Amino acid sequence: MVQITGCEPEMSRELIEELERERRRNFIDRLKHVDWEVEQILKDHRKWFEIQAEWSKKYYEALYRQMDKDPKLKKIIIENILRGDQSGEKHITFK
Amino acid sequence: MIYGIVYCVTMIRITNTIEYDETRRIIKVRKEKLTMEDTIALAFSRILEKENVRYAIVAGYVSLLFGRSRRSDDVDFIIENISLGKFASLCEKLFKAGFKFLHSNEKTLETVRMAYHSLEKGDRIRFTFGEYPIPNVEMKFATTRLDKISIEESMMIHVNEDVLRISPLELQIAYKLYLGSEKDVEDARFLYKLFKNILDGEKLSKWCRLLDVNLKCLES
Repeated sequence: MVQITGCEPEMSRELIEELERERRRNFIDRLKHVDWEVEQILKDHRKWFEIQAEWSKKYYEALYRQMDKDPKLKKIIIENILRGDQSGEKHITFK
Repeated sequence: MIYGIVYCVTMIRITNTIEYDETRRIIKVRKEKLTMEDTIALAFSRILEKENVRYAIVAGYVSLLFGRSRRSDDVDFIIENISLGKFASLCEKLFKAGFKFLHSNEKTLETVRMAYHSLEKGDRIRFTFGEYPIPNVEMKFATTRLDKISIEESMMIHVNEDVLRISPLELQIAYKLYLGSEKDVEDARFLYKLFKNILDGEKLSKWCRLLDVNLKCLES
């Protein structure tokens, strides 16, 4: 079991440093993923577009099925978007 | 004797579906299947083109259009400031094509007038296409200098037989770096790496300088 002991300000600084390192590593991995995407696109963009369109279609079909099943969901999404617009923030749905 | 201008068109192949017409600064994209975001962006642009409303697409959809593997809830359009009369006529065409306001099911002149006043104040309005709220079109008038430059210097994209106009890639990359969220930096890197060979280096450096961002995170 990990013990979180020691002087509190010091511990806080160390924990934050750990989190920041982890976040930085994740971000670098995501940037590498972008490079991989571009590599695949340069190899065969036609195929890539096909996969992208198929994935988009499946995503929206599933989402729309949910909305049809539960009309409240559609209402919540609309309210969420409009609330986000009023507060000047971007809305978050199902990214 | 007949005099004519002969254009020498230089086409640069970027991928097996994208070509760049260097002379006219047009990117030509062939897509056999469209994403939902493509469908709504093309339907909206078609009407703006027909109504002679100047515009530019900005933000996330610019990278999605070229294959970035994420999705977006909206396609962001900046349009030139138009009169209420022209806006009403635009709305009429949009309604006919299947668009409606996200905030209201009504298509009355009163609702159109309210939407126009929101745009005039600098707010954004949204249009949905069909019966579902996402993806939707987020539209605003050009209010900032960068908005206006995005429209004035927009790049024309031919998608199959249709036309889209996007904010210049150089500006988009610098702007995304300026926004600075992880998602934005990823998008910037995607555009930079994909279009590296056709970007105008001077323009990109200029925008980076003006927005006080650096290209280091795109190169490494």
